[in-house]
This record gives sequence, structure tokens and C-alpha cells, in this order.
Amino acid sequence: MPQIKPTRSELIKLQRKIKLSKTGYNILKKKRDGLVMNLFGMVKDAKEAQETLEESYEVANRYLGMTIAFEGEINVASCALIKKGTPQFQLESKNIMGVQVPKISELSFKKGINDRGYSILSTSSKIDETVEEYEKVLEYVAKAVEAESTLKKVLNEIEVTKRRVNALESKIIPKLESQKKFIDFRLEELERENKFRLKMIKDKKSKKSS
Amino acid sequence: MDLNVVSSEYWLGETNYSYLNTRVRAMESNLFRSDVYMKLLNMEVSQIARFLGEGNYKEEIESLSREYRGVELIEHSINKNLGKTYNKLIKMSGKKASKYAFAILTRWDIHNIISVLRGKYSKATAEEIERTLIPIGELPFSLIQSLVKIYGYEDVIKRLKKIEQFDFLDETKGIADIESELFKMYYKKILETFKKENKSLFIQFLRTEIDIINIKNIMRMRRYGFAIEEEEKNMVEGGLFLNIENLSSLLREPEKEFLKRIKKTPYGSIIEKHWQEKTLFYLEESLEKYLMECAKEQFIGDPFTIMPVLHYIISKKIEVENIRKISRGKASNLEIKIIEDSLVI
Repeated sequence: MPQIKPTRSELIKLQRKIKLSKTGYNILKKKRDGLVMNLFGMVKDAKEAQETLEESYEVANRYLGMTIAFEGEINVASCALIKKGTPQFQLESKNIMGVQVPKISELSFKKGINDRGYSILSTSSKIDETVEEYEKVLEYVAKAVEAESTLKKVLNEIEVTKRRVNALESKIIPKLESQKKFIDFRLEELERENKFRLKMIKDKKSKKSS
Repeated sequence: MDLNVVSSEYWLGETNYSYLNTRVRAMESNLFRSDVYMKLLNMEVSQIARFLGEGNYKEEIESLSREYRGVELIEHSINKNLGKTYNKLIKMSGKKASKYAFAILTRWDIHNIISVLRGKYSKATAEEIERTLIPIGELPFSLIQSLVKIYGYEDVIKRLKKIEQFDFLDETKGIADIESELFKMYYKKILETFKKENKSLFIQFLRTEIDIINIKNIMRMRRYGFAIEEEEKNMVEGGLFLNIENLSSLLREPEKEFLKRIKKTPYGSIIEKHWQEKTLFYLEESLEKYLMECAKEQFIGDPFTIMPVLHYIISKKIEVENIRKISRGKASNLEIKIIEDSLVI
């Protein structure tokens, strides 16, 4: 360890660093455990959101199939021409143990039959019900995206925290402790040398005087 | 795709009922019987296309097979065949059929105009709009195609306003209002045209159709809620059993009272049968089936009238719809029972 000065002030700095690292290690360990505990709930939520999405998509496709069969593809395609804009939603963020995760709010995909652009007179409830099912799909897509990206962010954070805990546990703290040990040893040695030197001087002085 | 449909009043000759009746009877004999539908129900989509390509739809299947495949080929072919058949029939029927031609063919004009306007309103591409057009109608199909090439929604309406039957349109109104007005004006004009024949079977059919449209719409409004200003827009005047006042009060009736009153009409039993269902899907299907069956039964009349032609028109429409339901139902993996129940046989 050539770069470390074996001085008392360096020792004090190192002691502070070790204390800080150990505190950080304990906090990060708690954070990691907390995130892992939360993760199980999030996995369940994401799985449920995914399943709901798949189910609703299947239902919507079935409705679409029936509508196309009964109304004709040309009629359905004609109604689809009226699609009004891109669905809008509000994207916010929330904090889970220091991790910023997305929160999709104000899901306003559902429209009344008079707000969909087409006239009631020129369409049937088959179109309404199919549109309604696809509006539900959009809502579930947003929920699944929210759950999945939360899960990804938390998983990423667990990985980062795990690496930090491991680095502190097996590299930084042991390194700092070995540096402290080195300085302790060097200081002790210097003290011994000093004592020995003083003893030698004392012996020389006593020999001269005698 | 252009079938060169031109306004019927210009090219129709004199009506010869005995000739017409013989031709129509021959054409009726080519329509599918119930056993053919049962056979189609057990076929795959490709087999249905092959079956149609070997029979009455050969010409259309062959001409469209380069452009479309599978179920799309079937749907476009049957539509093209329907257009060709109607054209042939109206030409054969002569001058006395012109007002019927107007009544029947204008429906497709309205469909095509609405599709163009919807596409223009949402700035869809010309290709997207063209895929939703059906080459049948009182207006020349080339006119409809030229509308697709016009730049904007307002410009299309301005162009349409130059045609007498669409001069009521207003380009400042939204698409939903224009759609409602087109439909309402269509029924209004037909009822005016046939004013003197108020008890004719054709008018009875049209008025039953208006009743069914209104019932379907009040059921939708009851389910999804409605704004008072929207109520009138969604109802058509001239129903056989239910006028606008009746419909308006029915819309506000509590469940029990609604059922009690609707039971007094011929549609009561159908509504009651589907009342508990979560969806209006099957109720609408049953009402449409009822309408088609009524028409099929009613239009058997005197051979020296237009009735055999109307009977054939309805029967051909039923055939085309049945083929579409079977092929689309098969392509969407619907249960055979659902498809079978929806067929008008």
C-alpha cells in the first residue's frame, strides 16, 4: 500500500470512512431486502395485469370477429376510418424505496357512444361493444405497461443495490480495514522505533556521564 | 371494380312483367338452398372460396383472386356479384322499377359516401378509403371514386351538394351529424316517393325496417345513456308501430313498463327473449333476422307486379349475408352454433 500515508490523521479519516461504509452497507442491505420483499407483490401484480390484458384482448378479438362476420369487414373498416386521435394518458411517477417508477393516471380511453365520431343511426351496437372491448384492452395495456416497467426498474435497482452491498461487503470495507490495519501497524512500529531510539539516546547519555 | 352503375332513370326500358317474372324465377332457382349452407358450415374458408368459384360466383372469384385471398376474396366477390345482380335486375325490370331501384341502390350510395366522408374527416389515405367502398349504387361508382380524390372533408360535401338528392348537406357540421342526416333523409325521401302506396308491401317492409332501426337505437341509448339533444338525431320518423313520440316515451320508461309496452308490438317477443343478455349483439341479430324473414314472406305476391323482383332482391341479399357470416365466422373461429343461428334460411 504505497499510496497511503501511515499518519494519525489518515487513520482518523479511514476510521470515519469505515464507519460510513458500514452504515451504508447496513442501509443498502435493508433496502435490498425491502425491495426483494416488495418484488414478490410486484411480480404478482405484473402477472395479473398481463393475464387480464391477454384475456381482454382475446375477448375483444372475439367481438371483432363476430362483428366482422355479422356486419361485414367493409362496414367495420368504414367505421374504423373515423378513429379520432391517439389515446391520451397522464404519466406521473411514484417513489418505491427511493426508486422512481411510472404511474399512469387519468386513463380516459373510454368514450360515450356519442363521442366516438360515428353516428348511432349508421352503426350497430356490435360496433359499440367491439369498440368498448378495445377501449378496455387499451386500459389494461396501460396497466400492464405500468406494472411491467415498475417491475423492471425495481429489478434493476435490486441488482444495483446487490452489487453495491457486495462491493462494500467484500471489497471496500475489507480494503479500508486492511488499510487501517496497515496504518495501525506502521504507527505502532514508528512508536516502537521512537521508543528504541530514545532508549539508545538515553543509554548513550548515561554512558557519557559515567 | 367499376360496374358502371348509372342512375336508373336514364336507362330503364318499359316493364314487361311476364318476361321479368320468368327471368326472376330462373334466377331464384340458382340461389343457395338450406342444405348448401349446412355444407358450407362444414367447410374451411379455402374450400368455401373454391366452392363459390365453381358456381354462381365464378366470374367474381376469378377476377378478384389476384387482388385478394381467403375470406377477403369471398367478401369482395360476393359484394361484386350482388352489385352485378342488382344492376341486371333493375335493367330487366324497366321503368316501373326506377323508384324501387332508387330505394334499394341509394343505401349503397349512402354507405360509400359515409365511408369517403369518414376517411376524409380523419385524413385517411385514398387506399384506406377505397377498401371500404362497395361498387353498388344509384350514383355512378366513378363519381364515388372521384370523391376519394377530392382533398378535404368540406370539399367532398360541397361537391355532393351539387347533386340534387344531397343538397341538404352542410359542410360546417360534424361527421356524426352528417351520417344521421343522410340516413334520415334517405328514409324521408323514400316514404315521400311511395306516399300514395302507403299500404304496399314494400312500404310495410321499409316502415318495419325503420321500427327495427329505432328499437335498436333506443336499446343502445337506454344502455349507454343519452343527451337530450342527441335523442332526436338517433331516431327515424315513419315507423310502422312506433312513432317518434312513442319511442321518446319508451326511452324513458322504467324496465317493467318498457317491456309491457313493447310486448304490444310484433318485436316484443324478440326483445323479451334477449332482455337479460349482457350484450345487444344477439338482440340486434334476431331483429335483423326477423326483418329479412318478414320480407321474404311478404314479397311473394302477384307475378304481374314488382313483388317477385323485390323477393329476389331480398333473397339474394340474404344469400350474400349468409355466405359472409359463414366465411367470416369460420375465419374468426366462431362456434358453428352461433353462425348457424344467425343464418336466415
